[in-house]
Amino acid sequence: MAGKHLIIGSGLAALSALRKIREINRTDEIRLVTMENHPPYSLAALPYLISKRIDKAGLCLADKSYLDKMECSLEMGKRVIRIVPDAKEVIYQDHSRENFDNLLIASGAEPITPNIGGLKKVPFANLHTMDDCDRLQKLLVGKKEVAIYGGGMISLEIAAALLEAGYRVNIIVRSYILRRYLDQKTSESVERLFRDHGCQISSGSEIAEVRKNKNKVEIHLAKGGVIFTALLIMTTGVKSRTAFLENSGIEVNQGIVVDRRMRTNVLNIYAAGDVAEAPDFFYRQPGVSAIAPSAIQQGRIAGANMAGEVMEDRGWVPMNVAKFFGHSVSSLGLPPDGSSQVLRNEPGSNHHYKELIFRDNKLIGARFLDVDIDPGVFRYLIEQEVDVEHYKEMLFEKPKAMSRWLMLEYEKR
Amino acid sequence: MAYVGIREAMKNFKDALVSKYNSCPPFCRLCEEACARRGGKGSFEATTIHAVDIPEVDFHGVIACIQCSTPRCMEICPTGAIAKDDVTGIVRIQSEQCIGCGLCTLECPYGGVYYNSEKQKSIKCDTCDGEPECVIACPYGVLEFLKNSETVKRLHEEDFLSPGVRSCAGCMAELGLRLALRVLGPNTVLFGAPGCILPVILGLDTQSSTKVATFPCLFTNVIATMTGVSRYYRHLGKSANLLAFVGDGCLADIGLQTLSGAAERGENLIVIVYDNEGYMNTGVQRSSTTPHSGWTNTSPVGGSYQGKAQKSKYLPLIMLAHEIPYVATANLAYLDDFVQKLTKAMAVKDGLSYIHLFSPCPVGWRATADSGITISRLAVETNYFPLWEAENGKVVLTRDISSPKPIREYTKLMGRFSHLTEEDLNQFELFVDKRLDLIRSFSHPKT
Repeated sequence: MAGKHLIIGSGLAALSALRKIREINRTDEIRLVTMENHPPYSLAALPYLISKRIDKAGLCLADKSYLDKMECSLEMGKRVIRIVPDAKEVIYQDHSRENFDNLLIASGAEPITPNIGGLKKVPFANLHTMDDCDRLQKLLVGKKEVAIYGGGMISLEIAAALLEAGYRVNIIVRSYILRRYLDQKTSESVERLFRDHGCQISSGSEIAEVRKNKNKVEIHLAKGGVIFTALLIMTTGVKSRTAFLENSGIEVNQGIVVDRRMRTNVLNIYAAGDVAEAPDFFYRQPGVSAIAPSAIQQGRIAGANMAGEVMEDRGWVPMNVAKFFGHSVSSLGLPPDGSSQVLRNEPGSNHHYKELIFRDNKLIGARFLDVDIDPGVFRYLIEQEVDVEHYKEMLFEKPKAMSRWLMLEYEKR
Repeated sequence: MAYVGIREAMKNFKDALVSKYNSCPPFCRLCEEACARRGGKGSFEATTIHAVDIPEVDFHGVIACIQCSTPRCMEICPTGAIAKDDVTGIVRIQSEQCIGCGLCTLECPYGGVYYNSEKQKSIKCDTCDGEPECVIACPYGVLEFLKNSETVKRLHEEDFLSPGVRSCAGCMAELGLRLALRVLGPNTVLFGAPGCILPVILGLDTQSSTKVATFPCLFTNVIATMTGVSRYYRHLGKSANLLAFVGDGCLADIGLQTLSGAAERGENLIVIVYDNEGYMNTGVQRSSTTPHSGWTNTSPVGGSYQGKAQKSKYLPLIMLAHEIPYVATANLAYLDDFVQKLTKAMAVKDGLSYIHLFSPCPVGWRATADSGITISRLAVETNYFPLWEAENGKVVLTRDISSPKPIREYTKLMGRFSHLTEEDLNQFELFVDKRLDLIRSFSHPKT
């Protein structure tokens, strides 16, 4: 089945699909088109550009020689404005058109900017694309104070990067930091880590209004109080980038609705990564999983199906790791609920925290703060639904050794 | 569906640090100590091999990176700091490029990448650039470093069998021939005889599937024909690898006499018998190498019949008794071993080389088409098909299985043994042990 695979995007999902198609097929044409003006990069690296741990030149994930080897062409600065499924073509911003046999939409996500009074009049930045990053770096010049609105993994990574680079940082978070990953008590011990490094954190407070005051930004909190800063960074979440799909007939909910083979409701059109709304692992409920591991997995599945194989995704598992000041947080799987069995310790003064969540004989969630474990091995135990019936306590007591042993035993099958 | 050739597949066949499962002395830390000591050689002082000791479940083993063929750590690395070496297959983290985000530790399911909180970077095993200190330090033989890239280097780039051939799905003999030709190269004349592989050799209509000179013969004359061709080459002052790739029906049964004669005369031939333990392409009939109690259409199961009543003939030892320069057994689950043996067979210039190739037939053995490699591996791990070689009569077991798996692990994979009772299996086990003892009685310890 010779054909042309057109891929919108050049991020992790797009590159993963490219690899998979080429693994199966050396003759089909593959083309990547991206609205970006930068060679493929991973947005997970952006905070580290701010902290200058790495420079831009070191970031390219697919240089020319790699793309040549993969026999793939990449066109940058090309934004798709419409898709016409019936004609099997896409229309670009410059009104040029391009045909495809298979289309993968891996257009990623864009930041959500909350509705805050006065926001338009003050300097604020996002950090979701390389352009954002360039802009943020320019805005940071000559400034000493930065406020970050949001308390997710990316917020903390940016905060850590800025603290490392010598800025005074204020984190403003609506509930508490890492709410999606940790309970409040553990979150507080992470908060302490940041405070120890000179970070100010205002939890449980929405921003009511921002005002410009000479060179400063005044941030008025809904619960009362004002924070003065020079620059505001918004990290209040992302949403799938789907605006260009209006009237295309492709079903969009939170993201583009896909099945376990990453197929949309339209034949020969697939979606993967931050833009896709795919069934999750535990409940088969559709949802957007805007994390790097899901992007790669979904890209791989989409690529295989585009190349003519039948490959189904097991579904995405929520997960993340974050590192700051040499500390690590890992969070995998589901949070505890009424029906699950939970083993956890109280975080002490040394910050160590571990929490394992079981349902029946399976591990369904695991959270660690500064515990020496292999996150990938715990992910394996969850995703492979390994029977841990008789080893729950031991897995909790000796998480590193026991998780490895359970993995090895399961691999032996 | 596009075809992914053996060349692509072999690219993934690289150097590997392997360990025996659960075989460490309790709380031995010699490998970890060696890893930590290596100082200037590696890029980090932290250890990248880990002993795992859990007395509660009686487990004492090691864990280290297995240098995956498609490393997930490499796919997810946001800076491209992780790369896989094209030749050796070693997956390395370039420390300067690593930003310490930890995503690789989330992606690796096998506990092969670690976050070093002191350096704030990820670290992993780089096999000390091909000379792992841990392997040298382990006196218990738990760790082994397989130099598979050396094996791959011995293969010709070109595949001398066409991509699509007329063998059944899951045929292992086809893989065997394909690989043998990759080792022997273009200067080979291939001889075949009626059997499963003959249609592969002959190809379709007027088109051949092979890219080397090919000579289809008969059961009883294939070796004699080779002898004639070898004389003719000698007469012309040329040399070539003369390879017979024929089945057990041809040389263990019908043509044994010609093989014996050529061995005795010292003809310089390479003979590979792909042993699928029966006459498979004529509809699954017993041969002299069909195992005891194995089902075929002519050794049926039912009533007083319980599969083949006789034990199998063991041709490799018959060939050993001819005192030829090289005799070996080979198995496609151990490609590196097979390639090494082919290389040795090819180097022989003063007599006949014989390789007995274990060749599962999913159709005739009533197994699934994807089970060939698993069956092959278990045949070795249960000692059903011991791997050995004899250079100038010196027998060495090339894979010495210290704690063999029970034979039922092997037999359960195939319908041809599904009628075996517990008692039959015990008897089967005895036959296996007896044959191994016989081989061992000729063998020298592995040097």
